[in-house]
Amino acid sequence: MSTLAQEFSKGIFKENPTFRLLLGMCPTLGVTTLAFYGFGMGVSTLFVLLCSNIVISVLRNAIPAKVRIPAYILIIATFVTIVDMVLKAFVPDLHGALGIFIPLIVVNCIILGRAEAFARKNNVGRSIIDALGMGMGFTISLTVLGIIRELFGSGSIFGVNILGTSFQPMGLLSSPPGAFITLGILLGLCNFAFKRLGIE
Amino acid sequence: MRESGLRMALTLLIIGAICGGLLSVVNGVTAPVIEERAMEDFLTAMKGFFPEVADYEANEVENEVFYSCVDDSGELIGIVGQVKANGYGGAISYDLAVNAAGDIIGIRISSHGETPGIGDVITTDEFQDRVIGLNYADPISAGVDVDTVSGASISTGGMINSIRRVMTIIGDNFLAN
Amino acid sequence: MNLLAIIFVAILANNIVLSQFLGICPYLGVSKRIETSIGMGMAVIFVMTLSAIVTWLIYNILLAPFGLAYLRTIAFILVIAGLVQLVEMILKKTNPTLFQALGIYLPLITTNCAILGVAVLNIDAGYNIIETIIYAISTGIGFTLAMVIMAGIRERLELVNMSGFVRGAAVTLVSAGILSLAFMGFKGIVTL
Repeated sequence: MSTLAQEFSKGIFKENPTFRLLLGMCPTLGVTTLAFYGFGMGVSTLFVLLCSNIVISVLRNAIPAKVRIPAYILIIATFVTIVDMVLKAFVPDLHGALGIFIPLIVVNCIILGRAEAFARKNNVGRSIIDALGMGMGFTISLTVLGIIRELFGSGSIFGVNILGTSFQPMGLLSSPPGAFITLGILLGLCNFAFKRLGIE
Repeated sequence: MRESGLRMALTLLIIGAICGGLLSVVNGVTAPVIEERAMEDFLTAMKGFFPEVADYEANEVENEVFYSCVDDSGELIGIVGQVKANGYGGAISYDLAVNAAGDIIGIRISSHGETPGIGDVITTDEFQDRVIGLNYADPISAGVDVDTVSGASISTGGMINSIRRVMTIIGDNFLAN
Repeated sequence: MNLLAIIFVAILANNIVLSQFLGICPYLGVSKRIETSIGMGMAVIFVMTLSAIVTWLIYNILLAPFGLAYLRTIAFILVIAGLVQLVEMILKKTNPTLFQALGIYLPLITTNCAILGVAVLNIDAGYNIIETIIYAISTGIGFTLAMVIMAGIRERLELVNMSGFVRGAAVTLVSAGILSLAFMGFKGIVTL
């Protein structure tokens, strides 16, 4: 039995969904042109993950095993739609920028994966900790990628100009190929860092 | 076996009903906010295009809405179309304002999915000034009387094609007399 | 917009994987060998087209006319999940050869975001049923093309001597980036 602290930190380091498990790659690449978009996507996913983990953990004895997957999909899709509607009403700019990646949170493997691997076998408390850890790991990864791409692609971080007006933006980093290349290099660096730090 | 089958169906049904109910409640709260916000933004934009606007009338042509704006005396001062263009990152929604003489006087991009730093040039004066002032009788064609922005030819070309289409609709339906 | 432009844009200029970032998980997961990537590609073309048609009908007949557009995500994902199951069962009974070829890829497809993505994009773009079908097939072909090219690259990368840190996903992503850069060249050809 791992402690709650371990349960929480595994999502951020040892089982980081982006850099260790390579889950949820589509939004990771698709929305991280600006740091704020990456952060917004991360928080939206965190919210859906937290809610679905709670509900699935509460209902874990009530849902027959054979129909659990459709039941999970229903629950997850409901929360995704709520996020979609709330963002559209109150943060329309972010909603416009994330676009199709909001409904696609439904098929983010992280969420169904945690439901199947964790929430249906653990109590509510542990499921919440698990969702917070995984969700924050995902949010941090997306924000970091967004910061790097925004810094070199537009010279700013969270919209605040950092590199000055004389900086010539590197358009490649804001474009689709830049997403793949930046993530690939980060992944290599992460593998190296984790090895050095002895985290497997 | 039959009982467990029934239980499965029932569980799914109950979850489905709760989810559907929950969504309709949230939709009931957010839908008016979304609509109100969109309308508010649009009216502010309309006031920006035609400061003397007193009243407007909405007409639908080919699934797009066109607002005929009139002043105090009921004189037509211009048309604002709520229209869509095909961009590089999906549809670009924008408002196109045309005065009674058929000249483009303003563009407002309300939503788009163009690449930041490249395709989003469509939201800037750099691009919009290339079209503003053109008349519906002009060719409004990429490379003829309007240039695309290099590096963003899909986004800007899509906008130019769409503006041509919208200008034809406005010219044929609203400015004919 | 004419159909030819839809085909060209969906396959090359706006490739679903390399410029829209949909379906990355199977793209990275199943592109180790050319043979398997062709199998996966065929399964995707098939299911993508079928689900695009069904979701288009559901949206335009059942949801939109009754003001239920907000149930779109939930309805689409359930339909796609059910459809994949159905296709699997029908293929098993009627066409065992095809089932053997595609069967192992079908379960992976439910969570392929390209399938749901295309269903949603069709609605957002306001395509009619013909455009929907053409768009879905072309997108599927674009997915297959990107997969097969990537598999070809990876088969050669296997033989290259490189550091263990970059082997695997890291070098695959960078290669995908270069491939995506190459595909960007197609963008200038069509202006929609």
